[in-house]
Amino acid sequence: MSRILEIFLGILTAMGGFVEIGELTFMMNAGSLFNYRLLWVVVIGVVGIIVYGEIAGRIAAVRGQAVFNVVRERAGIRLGLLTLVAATLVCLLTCAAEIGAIAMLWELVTAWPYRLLLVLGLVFFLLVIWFLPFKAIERVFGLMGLLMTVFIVVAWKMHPDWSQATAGLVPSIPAVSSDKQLLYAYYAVALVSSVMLPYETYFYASGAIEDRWTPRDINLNRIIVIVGFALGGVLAAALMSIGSQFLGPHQIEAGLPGTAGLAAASEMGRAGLWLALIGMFFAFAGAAIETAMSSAYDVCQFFGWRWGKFCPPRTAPRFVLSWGIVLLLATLIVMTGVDPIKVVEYSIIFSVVILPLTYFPLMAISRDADVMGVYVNGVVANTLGWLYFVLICIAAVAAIPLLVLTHGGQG
Amino acid sequence: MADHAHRAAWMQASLLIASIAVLVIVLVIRLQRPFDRDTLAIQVEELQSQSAEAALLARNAMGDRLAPGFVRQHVQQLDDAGGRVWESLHSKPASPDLTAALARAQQLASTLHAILNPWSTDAARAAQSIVPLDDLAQRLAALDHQLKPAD
Amino acid sequence: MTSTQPRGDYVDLFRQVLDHALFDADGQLCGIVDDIEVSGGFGEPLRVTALLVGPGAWGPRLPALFAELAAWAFGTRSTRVPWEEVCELGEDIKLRSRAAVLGLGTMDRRLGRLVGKLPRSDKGAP
Repeated sequence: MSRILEIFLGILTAMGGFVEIGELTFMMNAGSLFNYRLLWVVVIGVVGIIVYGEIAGRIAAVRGQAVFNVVRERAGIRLGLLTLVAATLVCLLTCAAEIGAIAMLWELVTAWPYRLLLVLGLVFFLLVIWFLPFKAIERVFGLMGLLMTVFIVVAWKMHPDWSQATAGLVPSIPAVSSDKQLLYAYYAVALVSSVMLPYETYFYASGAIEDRWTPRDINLNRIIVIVGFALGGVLAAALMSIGSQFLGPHQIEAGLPGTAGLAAASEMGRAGLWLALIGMFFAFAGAAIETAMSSAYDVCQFFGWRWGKFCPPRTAPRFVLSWGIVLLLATLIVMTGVDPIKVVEYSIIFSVVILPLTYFPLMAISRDADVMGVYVNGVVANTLGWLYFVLICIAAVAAIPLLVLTHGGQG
Repeated sequence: MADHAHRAAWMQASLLIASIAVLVIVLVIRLQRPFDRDTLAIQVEELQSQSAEAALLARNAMGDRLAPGFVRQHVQQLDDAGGRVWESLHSKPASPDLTAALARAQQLASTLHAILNPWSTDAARAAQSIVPLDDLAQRLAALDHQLKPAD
Repeated sequence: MTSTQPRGDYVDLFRQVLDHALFDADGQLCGIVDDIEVSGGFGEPLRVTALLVGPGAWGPRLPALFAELAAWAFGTRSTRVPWEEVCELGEDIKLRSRAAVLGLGTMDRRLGRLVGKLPRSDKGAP
């Protein structure tokens, strides 16, 4: 395939796969509660995922090793195993939430029982990951997830307040009660985490190895993360705008996937509704697949087991069993009747707690000239990388206290 | 050496179990505590959000912007969510100064269910649901303001 | 893969060997160096004699409680790869023989027979 086409598809795939149910909910609620005042956090989060996505992709292209190989080498067995257990739990919870959200979407369309739809969802994902090639999984769910751009159109048609939006790019503390300020801080941490979810780097780096990237692909990596994730950030900002324009005036909190569909329908009628529902399905399904496969990648890379869709399944059975077990456990979690939106909210907060454990080894390797040769971090990657590391450490420390003080993020 | 490792393992296990026990006890105590202003306001705000969203849904349904099946199912999901709040409101008492507010919230939760439940099986009820839902949302907003005037 | 050679006679066991991936003669991933076996008593030169792979090797490196849990859950077996089998030492470690000859990857072969019963299990899908 020509290089241009590969770059183009890579960018679109990165954009289409950017948003999942947690990010959608948090962005819309942030807009509903605080208008555009948290827009600066979206920008910070997007730059952060660009920085670490680029580093993870570069390490994969140069070293041929993915994130958890690096974690094992640099953090050792004890800290590495703690990181692995925490990362796998977070991926499992996120996967559960995505499967639950998809069942809720299907319920809106079919009126079939929720638990039956969960089982159908499980079967669907097992078959998709088993039969579809890696490239097809990436492209289908990434490109069809681009239907989520309907929300950009919807946000535009709602005539956003551009002066407020511009003001929202500047960090500020709103003049509200102390309870609401705590909630603001909680949402700031949650939004950073929802944009910089660790499974995105795990899947991205592992995917680079599935795609057999070499140092020749480093520029491809840079273009995809910078342009693709930036466009994904535009979609996230559009969701915040919809929250502000559509939900905020009525003090509505988005707690169901159908709320986003309703917002799309209010401006674009049934066509908007269907585009939103189909776009959300592919976006959430992509996230469910990515989290399941990320768990399997992580476990196999850490223990040195054969992994990858490029391997015939019978030669990498522990990889196959890993993603299969994660999908099964995720389905069982939502079968208990727990609200998938609540599950993903908690998993997003716990994700930020483990981010420093994931990103430190990446920084350690990427700045090691013995390992990376001429592809070692430049001044920009080093500066931004360490700046963001400090930032996510602060967020990691603040996350749990804020979760408690805001009664689970509800005020 | 093996004895030392065994003893260390028992010590670590004891510490881990004790920490988990403390966490669980704290969580249970927190969850069982009677409703205070903050926690009752959270439930009221959820009900208000659900009422307001249902009213918006009804308006858009009347404007023929939504598929009838979507409307019925979304109403059902809102009703289920409202049901969870209803159960939460009936699961424990409120602090003495909030008993009346809790009773009011329970009554309004029942009202929401009374509006949404028939609508979830008959999409034609959208039109007659708008005014009651707007009224319910306003009453819940007033109750929320009464609980947390500073917000 | 970048391959860096050791500097002269100096090999950094923690930096270049421990917790690094092992690749067999066919270039297939066959494990991670979970521990290192050395010989030599006090006051004598230490010699690396083997690389150890498996739960019996990484388990004891955990804190005592988790070492016992790991032993209970995963067993205590480990595979010993003689140091003479190492032919290349870089960011990844290359071995002279195939995994099956060295006794590595046995669990993959066992589970592979189970997974192999499913349709299309012998086709990779990159």
